[in-house]
Amino acid sequence: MLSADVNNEAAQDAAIVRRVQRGDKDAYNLLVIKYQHRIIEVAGKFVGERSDALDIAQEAFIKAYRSIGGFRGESSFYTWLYRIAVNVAKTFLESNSRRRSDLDVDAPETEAQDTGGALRSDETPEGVIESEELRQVIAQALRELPDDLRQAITLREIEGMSYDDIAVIMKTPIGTVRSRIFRARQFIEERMSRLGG
Amino acid sequence: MKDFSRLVSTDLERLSSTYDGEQLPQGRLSALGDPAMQGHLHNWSIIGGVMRGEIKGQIDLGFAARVAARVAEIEPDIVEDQSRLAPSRKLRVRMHRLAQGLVQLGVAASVAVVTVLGYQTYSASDSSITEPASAVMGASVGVNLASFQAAAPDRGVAQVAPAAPEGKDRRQLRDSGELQQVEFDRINNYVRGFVLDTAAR
Repeated sequence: MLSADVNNEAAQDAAIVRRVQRGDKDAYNLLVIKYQHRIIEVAGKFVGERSDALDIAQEAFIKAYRSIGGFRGESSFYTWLYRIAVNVAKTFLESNSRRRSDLDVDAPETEAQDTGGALRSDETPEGVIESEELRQVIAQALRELPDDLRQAITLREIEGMSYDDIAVIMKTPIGTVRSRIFRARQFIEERMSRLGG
Repeated sequence: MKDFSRLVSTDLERLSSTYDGEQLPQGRLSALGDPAMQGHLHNWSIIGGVMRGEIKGQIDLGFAARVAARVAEIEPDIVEDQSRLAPSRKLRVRMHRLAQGLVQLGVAASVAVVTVLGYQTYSASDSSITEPASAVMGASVGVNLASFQAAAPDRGVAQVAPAAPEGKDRRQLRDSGELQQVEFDRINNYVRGFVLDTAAR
């Protein structure tokens, strides 16, 4: 992603953050939906367990929301959120290692308690889907997309470009860019729904 | 007949650009609370995540909903915007400086008043002033402490007067003697008036 595109995304997020700072909780949910996968992956690099990564990511989003009033846009929202997630993960590891060393004394008992109620990584609960099959479906849908739609969604999702920049590159009005990105999403969504049912 | 499919499609297209941060609607983003709309947002989030290679392993479809439920229960710690704080701080500094200036001005004015009063007192005791305060203030039937007090130095003048240099004009000395006499009479009149007035009350 080019630095100009990063700045563009940061400016877009800053506008949403201002909404949150004015008390719009739905606007924050938009940021959660947008960054959930990235933050879960960041957390996953610190801990092995998927459930721990989800807990860390959730705590990071809650912490960020609590202190959103202090966000002044000196860095991008994602950079700020990333730092919070890393700090939460480090705190988790510290407290976990302390707890683990305490529990090591009664190791046999802890084995029994360890998973008490919590999900284990080999379980696949409702609402959790494996990404591999989904990745294949999305990749196939992208290949099937008409060129103009594929180019528009690629410039937006991978390059992070603004609609204005995409309009310049594709030499088309911004309304057309908006429409192409939306139609590309609809097309891929339709392929994804086939997977579910 | 309304084309509802087109209306829905237009709404979704708008939601798509809102998701990209391109077209934020006025007011709250309440449309995001709609489950159908949220479903689309989740799908678009997955599409973007997969395209950027951010999603590995499992995808938890309920994650954002769980965070939203927690967010609904808490309020953020709103910190006042520093740019909004700055003017009030500036104002406080300005007010402080203004108060300091006023205090300095007050001190200067007090010093000036004391100087003027001191000069007047000094001048009043100066032998060269023969004009009595009562002549300036005017005679009064009631108590006029100012004229009474001002008259006192004149008595001193009378005492000092004989010590005038020998070469001084006789006429001047005579006039001075007459003035003194007039003054003594006035003082006596004031004192008499004061005594009578007090007795009458």
